[in-house]
Order: sequence, then structure tokens, then C-alpha cells
Amino acid sequence: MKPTAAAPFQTLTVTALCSVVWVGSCAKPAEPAPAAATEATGRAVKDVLGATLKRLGVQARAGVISAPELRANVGLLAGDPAEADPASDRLIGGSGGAGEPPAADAHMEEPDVVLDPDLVELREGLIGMVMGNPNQLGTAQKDVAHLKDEIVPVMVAGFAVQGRDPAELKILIDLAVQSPAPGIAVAIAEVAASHDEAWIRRYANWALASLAETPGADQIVPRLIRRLKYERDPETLVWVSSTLATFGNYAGTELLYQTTARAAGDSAGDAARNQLATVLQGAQVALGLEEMPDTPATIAAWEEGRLGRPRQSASDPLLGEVWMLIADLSGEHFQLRGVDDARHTLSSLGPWAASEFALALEDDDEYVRLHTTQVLERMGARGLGAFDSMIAALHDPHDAVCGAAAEALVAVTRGTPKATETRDALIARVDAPCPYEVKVACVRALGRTDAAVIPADKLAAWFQATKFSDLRLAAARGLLAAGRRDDALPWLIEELGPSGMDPAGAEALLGDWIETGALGDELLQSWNSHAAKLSVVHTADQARARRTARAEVLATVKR
Amino acid sequence: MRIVLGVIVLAVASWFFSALLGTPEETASAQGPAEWVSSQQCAECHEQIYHEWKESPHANSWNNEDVRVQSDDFANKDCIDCHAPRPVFETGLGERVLPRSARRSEGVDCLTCHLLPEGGMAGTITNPRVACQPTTRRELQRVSLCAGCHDQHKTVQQWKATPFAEHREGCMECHMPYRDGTPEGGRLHTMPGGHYINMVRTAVTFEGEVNAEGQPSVTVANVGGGHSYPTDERSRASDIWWRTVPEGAELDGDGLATEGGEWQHLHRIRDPYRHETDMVSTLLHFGDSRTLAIEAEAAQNGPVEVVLVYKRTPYYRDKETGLAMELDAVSNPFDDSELVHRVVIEP
Repeated sequence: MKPTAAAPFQTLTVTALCSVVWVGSCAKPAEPAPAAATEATGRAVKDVLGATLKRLGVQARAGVISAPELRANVGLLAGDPAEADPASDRLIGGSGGAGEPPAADAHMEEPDVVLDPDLVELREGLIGMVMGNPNQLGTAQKDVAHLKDEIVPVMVAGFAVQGRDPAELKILIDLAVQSPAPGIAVAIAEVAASHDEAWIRRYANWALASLAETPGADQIVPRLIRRLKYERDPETLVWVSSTLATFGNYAGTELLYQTTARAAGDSAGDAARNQLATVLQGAQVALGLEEMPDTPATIAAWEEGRLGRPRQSASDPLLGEVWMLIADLSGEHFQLRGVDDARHTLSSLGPWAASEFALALEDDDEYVRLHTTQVLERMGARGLGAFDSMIAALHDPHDAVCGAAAEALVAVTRGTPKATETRDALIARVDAPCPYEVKVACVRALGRTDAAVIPADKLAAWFQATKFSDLRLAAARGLLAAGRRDDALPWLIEELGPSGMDPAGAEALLGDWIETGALGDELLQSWNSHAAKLSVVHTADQARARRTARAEVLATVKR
Repeated sequence: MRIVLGVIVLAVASWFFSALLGTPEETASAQGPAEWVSSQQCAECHEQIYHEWKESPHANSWNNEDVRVQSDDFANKDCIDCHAPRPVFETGLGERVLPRSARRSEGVDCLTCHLLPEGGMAGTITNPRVACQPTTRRELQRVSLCAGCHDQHKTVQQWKATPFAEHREGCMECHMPYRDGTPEGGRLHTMPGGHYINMVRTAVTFEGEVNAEGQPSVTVANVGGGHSYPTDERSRASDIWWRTVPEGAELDGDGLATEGGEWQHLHRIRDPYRHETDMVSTLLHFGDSRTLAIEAEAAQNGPVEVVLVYKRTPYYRDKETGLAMELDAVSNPFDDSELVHRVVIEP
């Protein structure tokens, strides 16, 4: 997929790091090198992305900023040939603003078909009729339903008419859902995502729920998920969330639940309370329960991968959307904002998508592999279907992917029977010849495993054997979680001081630990009393003073 | 015998001349370390450069308090990519950088720009006799070396729309000038930019005037920034504030009137973050100017002091409490910003 892949630079053979004041000579690192970091990895990669996009008949989107242009380095240095096409700069005068990034939805193009003028006239006539007399809606809907598939292209084209009055658009939606088809769903989803007026966005989102059983309509799910990130109208978010649930995706249920806390009479709160009940009823059916689950149980079932549609129900158009999003993760897209949008959307898909991500972990673009591990990390247990592929990714040709896979594995298997298997795989990775980069990442990941499976002795040994703060910091989290306070706490307190290499990192780690109540409420209060107050951002000096004060708080424990 | 003597003389002479001509850095050591693992190793020979870098925002990119807050202590992993990047020559020029797992506290370090995949260093001169065995890599001067991080927020794209790009004047010309003005002195590794207010001041002009109806206005123009002013999205902002001042008001040490009315916000120049969907970009592109009328009644009848301030965060922090405030709650624009330019508009 990637035309000019950067040479993998897997083995920097980094063995000693910055963590302490450099005490050795230039020729001799301060600490003996661990086993040689270079190793031959058998993890094969191939153009999975290109092959899958081709199979599904879709194309990757072009990046807003052109990576190939930068890669070619054209026009960026004296003596270089001048830029061939200055107009190719799509940023300047382009999207520039702060709105939602362009969807570039391949399925949203105007159908390249000749529309039957009689049907176009009928469509507009029906809209006009209902505009004049809303009681005629039922009659108009029957007319459209009677024509079935024949009128679908005409109805889809109706959404492309520029400047249509929102009231007409509402009627068009009411009519269009009478001829359910993927194209109709996509057209309504465009209104739901991008219309200027919130009320019509709400209506469009509501209407989409009626198409949940239409084959191929599920392709709008990624689009709706993205709205969870960018939509600002609380009531529209209610309808996005409830419609997603109708499609078997519960990514918005937590938000729906939060919105129910709004006061009675608040339109978003009222809508949320009504819709949440409907969502929970749907979850009851999907889970095969005799009684309706409550919201936490529903969310837990979703997060644990027990709720949601199966892989075989995903239509090819949905798979096409998913793989276009996976393509967005690639190095061809220079800006991380596009990557992050894709990562957000992909990580909010149901457990069925894990098998797609398992495939993506074998792609020959290291950016795709890296960001796919991050997608899985965000999915948590919903990503468990990619477990084997993630274990294999610990031996990825690129160090960065190995490290990200280590952290993702822990997130995906936390609280599951696979947690022990993950721990053992991570220990084996560190014990084998291992680049320092990967070692630090794996040890950091081990520190985040379930408390019951943390390899405390191993972590203590690694902690003691190194003087370097990044490896110590990586091991310290697990030591604290495993109750081995004496092994790590004195050093962490020192790290908070002015000579610490990563004082902010140490502080964050300690804060997480103290927050668990490990040192009791009194000390927690004392620790928190030095925190920046709400909306306060400390300056560098204030942050240093804060850490000093917190170190003094902890010194009482140390003693 | 004469041949042997000749060889000895030649060897001594060549050693003498190489020692004479070589810089201290070049002749320091021919024994490189087994591997390059930290910028602190570079300080052994390149002490001045190391200390310049150590003072630079690059060195502080991991530990900077504002960065820690805005990245949620790097829980937002995307931020790690540029705040602790792997070597640029590893990922490839013009490619987006990838994150390090180790030695993150060194931030954007020597190895980020100089370490080559083969293990040597990219430099301006090939020299196998010294510890780091540098290889000449012209790419060190290329904009694409910086683009991996600095185009994440469109700076390189902005630069490409300026005459600087047309004249092939890249990032180095302003942000890595020659230390003493000559190539022999080497380039400055503090890499001055938005953290150096004197450099910011060279980017824009700020002028005031009164029209025929007596209405004051100010014009801000991007005349020297090689990219938009301010560049970057989200974090950087530049605000214009005004207040009434008495005629002939005295100035304080910062060049501001010692007394005057309350500061009023007039305009913000900023590229909003992607989640700020209700805002539009007001960046001032190179060559553009913007005139802003001060329409308030109070400004029509007496002298008005107008200031352009530069911010490295989108919020203002109260100096006493540290409270991050929205614009409408700010009473002193200098609590958490630096003065770029100031004008007084007389009626």
C-alpha cells in the first residue's frame, strides 16, 4: 500500500538511556548492554490494505496534506526542482477551518444514472403536496412505497438539490424511507451529519433508525460514530446514540445515559430518557435476557464484547467504509488529526471488527500497524478477537509497533482469562534478545496488567538492574500495584525532585497509585491538597513546588 | 633508511597539519561509543551545541508543564509522536514521525535529527576520524526534516504559500541562523521561534490611525513570518486589546501607560482546534494585513492604547491564582502573555 516505505529501523540497539547523569566516557555507556538487540523477526507483512480495498471495490481517500509530495521533497530546498503544481497544495485556501473534516465519502457521489423525469416530477410534486397539506403525508408515502426500488435513485438525487428548504427536506426524508435502500440511508446520513440546522439533523438521525434492517444500510454506522465526536447539539447526540444502538452499536449509550441527568423539561434530557429505555429493551433482546438490563450492565456487555452484531452481518459496503478508515491510518495521511478521526471511529465499532484489525496488523505500512494496535487498545475487550495477531505483533519488524502492541495487549485482555497469557508473552519478549525500545514498552505494559498477574519479582529485578529512569518508571507502576512499595517508592520520591529525569511522569504514576487508596484517605487528601485547583494550570515553577510538596508528603510514608 | 625517515617525517607532518586544521571537535576522539543512546553523549565533544539545545524548547518538549496539561500527561498518545520522536532519518524525510518508548524525557533530542539508520550521524562534513563519524547529509537543511512534526499543524504548508518558499529560504534561515553570522560558526541550536518574543516581534507590524470620522483602528500585518501568524493551531494565539489612557500618560518599564481604563478585547488571531467546530481560523497569513476598527464609544474621544500580545496557550492564567480564564473574564492581558507591539492612537 505504501509506495516508498521508509526503511525499517528496527534495531537502534539502544541499551542505555538518558535516565541518569551521564557518568561514563563517550566510548563506554554507563551500563552494560543487555543482550544484543538485533534479532531476526519472522513476522511477515504484505499489502493487506491494497488487496482488501481492491476486493471491496473502494479506494483510499487522499490525505488533506500530501505525504507523497513531502516525501518527494519537491521544492523544499534551494536547488531542488520547482514544484510542479503549486495548486496541488490542498491546504491553503482549502479546508483550513475548524469544522468536521471532509468526509470524502465514496458512496455519497451523485449516482451516474439518467433519472426518469416523470419520477423527478412526481417527487417534487409529492413534496409540494405535503408542504401544502401535511395531512397528505400518508398518501404521498404510499405512492413512494408503491414504486419500490424504481424510485430510489430519484429519491437519492433529491437530497443533492442545493438550497432545499429544511421543511421540504424533512418531507423528503419521510418519503425516502418508504423505499429503503443503502443509497437512501447514505443520503439521509449526510443530512444527519452536516446540515446547518440542528432540528433537521435530529430528524434525519431519528429517521435512520427505521433503516436498521435494510441490507447495506449499516455502512452509515462509521459516519454516525464520528458524529459522537463532532456533534455539539445535545439532543442530536441523543438521536445519534439511539440510532447507533438500533444498528447494534452501543458506542453512544454512555453518552445517552449521561444526558438523562438533564433536568425535566430539557428537550435533550427528555429525549434521552425516552430513548434510553428503548435502547435497553433492544439490548435485552440482543442479549437474550428475560429482564431488561440496566444501563451499566448494558454498557459492560458492550465493552466486554458480548453485545453487538456478529461479523457475518456486516455488509460489504460497511466493510468498505471500515477499510477506507483503516487506509486513513496509513503514512499516506500526513496529519494525525485524520488518523485520530479514523482511530476514534474504528475503536467504537463492535467486537466483530476485531477480525478486520487482526488482518490490518499484517499490512506492510508500519503506520497502519501502529495505529491499528492503538485502535485495539482503545477497544479493550471488544478487541479480543485480534488477540493472536497482537501476540504476533510483539515481533513486528518495527520497534514502535512492537511497543504499541504490548500496551494494547494489556488493555484488550484486562480482566479476561487471556491476561495471564499476555503477561507470559510480554515476559518472554523482554527475556529474549530485545531492543531497548521494546523492552521499556513491554515492562511498562506489564506494570499495567491485572494486579493478580503482575510479575512483581521480574519487575523488581529489572528495576534493580538498571539505573535508567525510563525503565525504572516503567517497572515502578507494576511494583506499586503489586504491593512492592519499598522497591519503588523511595526512588519515585527522589524522581519528583529537581534532579529527576521525568518528574511529571513519576508524579502521574504516583497519583494514579495513591488514587486507588493504597496509602489511605488521609494521605490521598494531603496529596490532592497540592493539586492544581479546577481550571488552574500551574506554571513550571508552580509545578516544581507542587512536586516538592508532594515528595514531602510521601516522605512520611517512606520513613 | 632515508625512505623510512621520509615516511616518519610525512606521518608527523600529516598529524601536525591535521591537528592544526581540524577543530577540537574533529580531533577529540576517533573511538565512537558502541551505540548512541542519549544526547548527553553528544555533549562530550559538542558542549556548546549541547547547551544551546538544552535551553531550547526542543529539549523541554516532554517536560513542559503546558504540554503535560494539554496532552493529559500524554494520555493523548498522538502527542508523543512529536514530543519524543524516533530519529527522523529512520522514519524517512517527509514522513510523519513515530513515537519513542524510551528516553522520552530528552524530548526532541540530538538523535532525533542526526542519528542515521546505519548507526552513524548525519552532519555537514563527512569525517570518519571522529567519534560520531558524521556523514554529509544535505537533507539536514531541508524543510522536510522539520516537516515530520512541524507540518502536523500546517506550518510547512503555510510556508509554501510564501515568497520564502519561492526563494528556497527554508526553516533554517530564520530558526537556525549561523551562530556568528558566518557558516564557519555553525548553526545555532537554540532554534529560536515562538518561545522567543523578539523573534515574534519581527513577524508582524502594528499600526494605529484615526479616520476622518474620528474612529480609531489598528492594522496588524504579517510582514516577516515565513508562515502564518501565529503558526500552529490550538496552542498559539495572538490577541489585540485596547483601553483608554489619559493624554500624556507616563510609561512604565514595559512601555505601557501607567494608568488607563479597563482593557477591552478587540480581536483574536488563532487557528482553532478540530473540536472547536463553532470557530473559524483567523490566522494572519504571510503578506496579509487586517484592519480592525475600535467602535466603542469610549474610544472615540481620547487617546487609546492598543496592544498586540502573543500567547503560547489559548487560555489566560491569572498570575495569582493560576486560574485559566476565558477571554471575557480576563482583566489583565499581560498575566499570561507577552507584549509584541503597542501603539497609542491619538484622536
